[in-house]
Amino acid sequence: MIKIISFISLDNIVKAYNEKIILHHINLEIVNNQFISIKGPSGVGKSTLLNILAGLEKADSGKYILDCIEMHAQNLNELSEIRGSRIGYISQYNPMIRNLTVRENIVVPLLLGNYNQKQITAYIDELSACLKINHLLDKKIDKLSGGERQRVGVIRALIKKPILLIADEPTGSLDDDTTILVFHLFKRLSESGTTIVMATHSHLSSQYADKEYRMSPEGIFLNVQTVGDM
Amino acid sequence: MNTARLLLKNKKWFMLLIGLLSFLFSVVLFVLLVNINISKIEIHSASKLHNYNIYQITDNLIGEREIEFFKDVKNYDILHDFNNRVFENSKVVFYNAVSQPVGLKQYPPDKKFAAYYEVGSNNDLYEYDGEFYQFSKSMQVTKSVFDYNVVELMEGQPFDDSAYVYIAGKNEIPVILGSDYRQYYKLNDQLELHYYYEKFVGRVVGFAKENSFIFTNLEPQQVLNRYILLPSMSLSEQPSKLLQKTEVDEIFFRALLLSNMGGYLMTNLNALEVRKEVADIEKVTNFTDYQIIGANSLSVNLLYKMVDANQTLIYTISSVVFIFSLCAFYLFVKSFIKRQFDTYLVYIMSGVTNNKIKKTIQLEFSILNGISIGLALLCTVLFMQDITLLSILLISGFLVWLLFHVVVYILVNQLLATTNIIEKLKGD
Repeated sequence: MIKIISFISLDNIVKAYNEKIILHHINLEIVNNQFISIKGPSGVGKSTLLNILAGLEKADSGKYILDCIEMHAQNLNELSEIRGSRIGYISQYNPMIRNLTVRENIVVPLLLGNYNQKQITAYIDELSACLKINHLLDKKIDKLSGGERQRVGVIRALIKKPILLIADEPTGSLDDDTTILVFHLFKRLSESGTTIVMATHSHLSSQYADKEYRMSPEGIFLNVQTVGDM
Repeated sequence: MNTARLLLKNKKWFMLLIGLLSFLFSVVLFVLLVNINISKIEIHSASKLHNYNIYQITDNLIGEREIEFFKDVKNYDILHDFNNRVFENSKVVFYNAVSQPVGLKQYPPDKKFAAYYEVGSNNDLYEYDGEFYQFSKSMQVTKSVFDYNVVELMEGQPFDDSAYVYIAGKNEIPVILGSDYRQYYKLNDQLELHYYYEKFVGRVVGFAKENSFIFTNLEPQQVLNRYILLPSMSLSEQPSKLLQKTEVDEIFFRALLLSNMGGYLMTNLNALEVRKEVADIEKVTNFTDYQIIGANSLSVNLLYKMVDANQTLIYTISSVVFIFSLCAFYLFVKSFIKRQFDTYLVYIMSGVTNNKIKKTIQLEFSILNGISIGLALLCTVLFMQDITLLSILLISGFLVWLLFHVVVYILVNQLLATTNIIEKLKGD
């Protein structure tokens, strides 16, 4: 099986809102198949950085290359297409479609394209078993707790088997045991070809991430004490 | 899994509600539009009368005096001459709509056509010459009645000028029937009439539109649905000659002359001037047994005020309904988009562009409103059974659709602005 190699390069990324600079000349290189964790205080720009990586918004200046695609040169519509085909995204706010079951919510990203239902059903079963929500698949989404919904969001982001997974606080509502389940899954996915960039406050992430970065108003810096470097 | 079914699952009731609102709003608007149009016709018609001073002219030939008057056949000619001169006077318009029951042989089974049905009388059937007739509601009208009211025909033709003239040997009278007669008769049917003690054939030349009405001495708005309209006939020559030429009983001419005598004089002249004008005719014709009742414009003024108030009311209701429905539509759509916001976020996270979502929402509402407005239009046309206003309704339907489209466009662009989406995803 040929491994899809993802490669992320951020060069002097600047982003401001209402003349307030959020990202100030950010530079970052991520090789493929890595599980990257970003930490930092609230409001430092982690979510903004992840949104740019996911193609949800564009940087004011700087270059962003993903898997040889010049993302900075694409418009928002083109970025959406790229996101649809290559990027999985878990947002801090975890939107779900009311009145649908868990399974139906998970397959929403697939509704716009063709997919093999048999394979997808098996994949959903596999992922939901990993995150221990397989017994909830046919329940209405409204009946689930915050933590269960967060795990549904993780599976939904992975359902298209993206080459890049952007995860913004994917374990914010989870207890430590369940957080470990999610990080285990991420680790396994990164080993099988998915590059993962995750913003988190969890103290457990350093045990699973290949690299951990710390973000501050001055920029983004590699935290040397990460599993990948050990 | 059926994609469309899945995507509709989350919003079908809301969409149905908005569709229903759009439908109801459109129906109300269309009905009001039709009424505004009717009201415009009414006020146009009433304003024609409103511009005149109206006097009533009537004879004094009552009881013995009438018998005495008609003993001399020359008096028939005098009254005929007086009537003609009043009718032909250029300074006054002679307007006559007399409710005069007519005997109808092939009367419909429905008693509502009987002349005295509304007052609960059961004596409308009578025998004449070995045959049964029913006193049926009928209205004799001068040509001016059609000029000063809007009596549109759903079928057939109005009376031509010859219909208003009685010539010797004439035994056929054109009749226009009220809309309720339409289920019993058709154009060119011949009705056997007993009219002023003479037998006539009434040939159906037209059917008045439903709820057509005219102004009469008794009712400011006399609805014609159950009426037979007959032309008020003047005589082609002097009655004395006609009496010699025909076998028609003199009582027919007497009734005709007397019914032609009473009516309204619509004029710009004041009371003194109109009295002088008629007095001049009196001098020439030597007919003195008449009186002019003072300027009795009460019912016309009442009619005008009613129609005017009616129109104001319709405009007020239309405006209130319009504003209410627009606000309701705005709030419903806003609420709908807000409720669906998470769904849109899921789509955006999954790679659907914001523009595509906006366009999809606009398309959904365009189709929904198009169907609702189309159905409302269809229901209005079917209910009103009138397609004369179809073009106006189509244009207003399109304008309503466009207005709703603009509301949706504004809301979609306001609520689904990129900054809103990004902020929401960040959990702000």
